Amino acid sequence: MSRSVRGLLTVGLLLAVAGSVRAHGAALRGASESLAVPTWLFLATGGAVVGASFLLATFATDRAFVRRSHAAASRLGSIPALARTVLAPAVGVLGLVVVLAFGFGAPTESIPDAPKENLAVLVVWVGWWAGYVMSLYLVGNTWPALDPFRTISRVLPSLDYEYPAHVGAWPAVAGLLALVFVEVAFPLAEDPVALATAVTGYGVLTVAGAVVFGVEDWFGTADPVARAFEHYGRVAPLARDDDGITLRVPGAGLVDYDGMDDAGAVAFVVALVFATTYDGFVATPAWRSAAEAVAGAGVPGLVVYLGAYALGFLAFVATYRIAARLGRRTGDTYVAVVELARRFAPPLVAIAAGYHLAHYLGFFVSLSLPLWSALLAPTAPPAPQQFVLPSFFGAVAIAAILLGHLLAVWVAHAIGFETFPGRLQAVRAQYAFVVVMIAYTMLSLWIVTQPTVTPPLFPLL
Amino acid sequence: MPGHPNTSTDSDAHTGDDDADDAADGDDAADGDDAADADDAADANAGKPDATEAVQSTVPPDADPRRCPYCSRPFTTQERVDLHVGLEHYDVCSDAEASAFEDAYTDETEELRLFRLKTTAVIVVLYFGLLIVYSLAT
Repeated sequence: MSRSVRGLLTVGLLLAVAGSVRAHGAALRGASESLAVPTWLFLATGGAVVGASFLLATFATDRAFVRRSHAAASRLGSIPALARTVLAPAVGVLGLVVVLAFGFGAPTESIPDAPKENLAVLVVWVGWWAGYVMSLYLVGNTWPALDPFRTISRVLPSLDYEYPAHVGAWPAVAGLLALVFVEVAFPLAEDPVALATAVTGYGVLTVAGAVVFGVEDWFGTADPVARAFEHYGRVAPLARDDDGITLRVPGAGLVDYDGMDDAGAVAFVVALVFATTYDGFVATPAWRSAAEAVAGAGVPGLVVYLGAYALGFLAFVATYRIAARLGRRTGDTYVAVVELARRFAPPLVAIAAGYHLAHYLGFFVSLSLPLWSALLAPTAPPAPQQFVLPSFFGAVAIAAILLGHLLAVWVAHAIGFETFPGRLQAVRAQYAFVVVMIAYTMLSLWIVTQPTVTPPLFPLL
Repeated sequence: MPGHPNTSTDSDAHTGDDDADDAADGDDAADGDDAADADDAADANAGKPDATEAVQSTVPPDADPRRCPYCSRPFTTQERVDLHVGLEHYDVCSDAEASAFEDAYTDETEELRLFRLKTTAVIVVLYFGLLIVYSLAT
């Protein structure tokens, strides 16, 4: 059998699994109402899908084929410089002005302050955090051109202090954790003034950082938003460099990723996965009963949230670290644990992207209607209406989570082949990572299939 | 990390005459296919973008590592050194090393066949196991 035929067969098998997974997910989702498949069995099936796809990926042992799967790329045209250097920055700054004006202006009579009518709230949460972020991993990273704070920093004079190399990506880790916690703990989606205040706070810190350390250093290393979006852009099929646009296999950008320079960069990826999980977890009934029980014992709400946040993040980091340690053992290798952690971190980005899609696609579709209404009539939008999602949308969420994991499994397989001389050794080194992925799939599936409830104990302050 | 004793740097720029290599492989009736595979695998790494990236390694104090003669990256077995040399230093290695690489690659392919059988068995058990659990649970 020729190599290309074997390669095609492997891809076909993987696709067939992915296809039946989606069908399976849909059937289960529908069935959970009528036939009542127990939750544990549903979760076990999701975990089994990820495990089985890893086993199937191990059939692809042709190094040339695995390499082609991520090295293949074709050149497309380039983006007109005018769009990159003038139009996109202008759109970004205009967006920022709109968010600040409609956020801080909400208390006045001429601007509606209801969340589903206020343009600032809708632009940030529906337009930017849900819709725009999806475009990052589905199309390509456009944030460097659009980011209004980068545009502002560019025109300001720079003090050009040297960015301390030993600090690495840790400011981005702290920044991301802080941003997500503020988003969860404060009513940024309900109160336009609070939202505009948070945007201003982030903006002042970001511009100050860029002025002190230089635009490229700050946005390339320390800014959590730019860093997260750069990661998401690596999942996407399109990438831009100095020569123009490149079309590549989705996820291919994660295999040859040289941006994981230090432990902070790895912790950032773990934080990205953890933050999306925490965001979903606090809206589950299980969290509500647990948090209310702890708060009943006299613990303040903010402490309950912060405690769970810190413990959860540490648990995620520790789990990943243990997986890397076990990988060194099962792979029978002298590659350092930190090196393994560094190399196998990029696949997690695909998982985070899948989870984001699962969480926000339905949200974006249903709320895109009020966003459009508010964009067309910013000061006097009609009474908010939203699209009602068809019942199969639950299956879309499940499929998104599984697809993210399938992509991660394949990316990890390719990275294993890059790292180890032995092909069987590359497979064996991944065992612990795959177990972690299976566990995380089950946790994510559990969260998205839980009924969404209002997080308890609010307001926290 | 330049200068670190346990850090090794992989580099390659494969410029061998591929057609001649393939023709030579074709003469070898016994393992011609696998040897061609090995050759392809060496080709696959030609010009890869991260070729100069260092692989940070740590060797336990009581271990006796085999090292790559070109980049001194440590490995646990000689077979892995042979594979590594063929994959990363094919353009500069000796004929003996090239044939050691092809032998190691062929041996590994044998090992992979057995592994695939086991994998298939696990998938079958997983599939029918879930099928049975579904029939019992619903």
